[in-house]
Amino acid sequence: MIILIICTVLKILAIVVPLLISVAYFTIAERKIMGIIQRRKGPNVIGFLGLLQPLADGLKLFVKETIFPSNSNLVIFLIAPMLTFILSLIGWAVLPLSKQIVLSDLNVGVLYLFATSSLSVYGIIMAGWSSNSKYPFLGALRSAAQMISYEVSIGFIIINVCICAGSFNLSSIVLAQQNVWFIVPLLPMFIIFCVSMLAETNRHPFDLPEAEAELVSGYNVEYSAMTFALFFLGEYANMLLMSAFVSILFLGGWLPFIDIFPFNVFPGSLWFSVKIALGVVFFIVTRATLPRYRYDQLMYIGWKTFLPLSLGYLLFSVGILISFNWLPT
Amino acid sequence: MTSSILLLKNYFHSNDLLFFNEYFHLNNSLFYSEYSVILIFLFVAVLLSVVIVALSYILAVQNPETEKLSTYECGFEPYEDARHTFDVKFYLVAILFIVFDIETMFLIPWTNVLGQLDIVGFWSMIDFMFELGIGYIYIYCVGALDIN
Repeated sequence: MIILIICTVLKILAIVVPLLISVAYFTIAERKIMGIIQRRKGPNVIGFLGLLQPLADGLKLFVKETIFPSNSNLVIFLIAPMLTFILSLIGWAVLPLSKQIVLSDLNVGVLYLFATSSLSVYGIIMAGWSSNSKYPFLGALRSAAQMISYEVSIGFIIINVCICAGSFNLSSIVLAQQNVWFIVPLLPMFIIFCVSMLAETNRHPFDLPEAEAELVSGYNVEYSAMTFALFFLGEYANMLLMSAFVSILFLGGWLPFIDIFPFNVFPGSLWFSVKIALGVVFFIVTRATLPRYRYDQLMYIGWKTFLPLSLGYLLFSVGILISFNWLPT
Repeated sequence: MTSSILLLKNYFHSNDLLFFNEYFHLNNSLFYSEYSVILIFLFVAVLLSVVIVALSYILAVQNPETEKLSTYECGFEPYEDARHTFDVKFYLVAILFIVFDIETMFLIPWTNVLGQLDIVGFWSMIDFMFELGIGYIYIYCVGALDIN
């Protein structure tokens, strides 16, 4: 029993440690690509081509002073960044990284991922309320407004994919795409999911809870040192998680582009990481190119465009599947 | 915990033992292999986040003072508590959100068994979505989704 637990902990660390390293290199990729888009160099001093920059940043945050504001609710103030970090980590427990590599092959994996990613709004709301300051409070309110505007359409999109795959298991969803990826029959759903994904991870153009031009830094104004770093890590790990989720739902997970000779010799996890990297580049390029939305505009998009469109497309695809008798059994 | 399970086992007849095991998932290796991993993952994640914050708090130099610990307010002293009454304009949308979220919750189990249902199972859910669609058109026309 003890040996089993130790083995499991080692397996978990084998996922978490590379995840944190890839979060570090996500940040430098973001700064480099944004530098290229804005015609400047980006960080290039520390290490070869600036590759040690994220480690230096992490070390700097580590040795800073942790500030607990005098009129904050200390317990909630401390729990909030930890909650964000924990929720962004435990989502990785069910992701199949390849056909054989999966930590826990849940039968309800999609629902588990949906639940953990929806819970992450609580970290922001707790941080905003417990800081007892005006900017974090406004950020928390905006985060709630944001959550209620995209969540319903994300639910419909996931239902759409599950009907086409006939399962909630992430591995079976990937295996159902062996003939054709779901991006082909469900292209509008893929686009809506990508936009909702930006709102879910509080990214530009929907970074309303931390709009630095209006709310200085939103919900994490009062945070410093490692409590701030946990928010930062959680947010970026969440982005990687959502990229992995979208590649499982629509881009065929670990499956190669075409299942013929030169492509299928590479291991599945390589294809999966290439697809996650595509998602990461999508996040960075949208950040560098689009201006910010107002939160009522985001609610209009969510309720007046995405909701009827995803509901209608659900009816359409179910109707097609029923009438041609294509339903997976 | 173990003794109470033993007591319960004695209480049941031996014929019912199979039922008992199924009921309490005692032999269910699926449960142990899949959800226990997630539990351990949760423990590791909690431990990691606590260790990160605690190590930084212990190792870094802490030098708090009154000005540093006061609430941030763009240069001047905070003049009011942040928790006074606030007009949340989107409360109506939030109420409608509950309705539509419950609709997705009803749809979720239906997706998995749709292949085994007959045509009535299909049309009854279509009817459900149709009626909610009428409700959606109503709230759209009444203007409940307009915030200002």
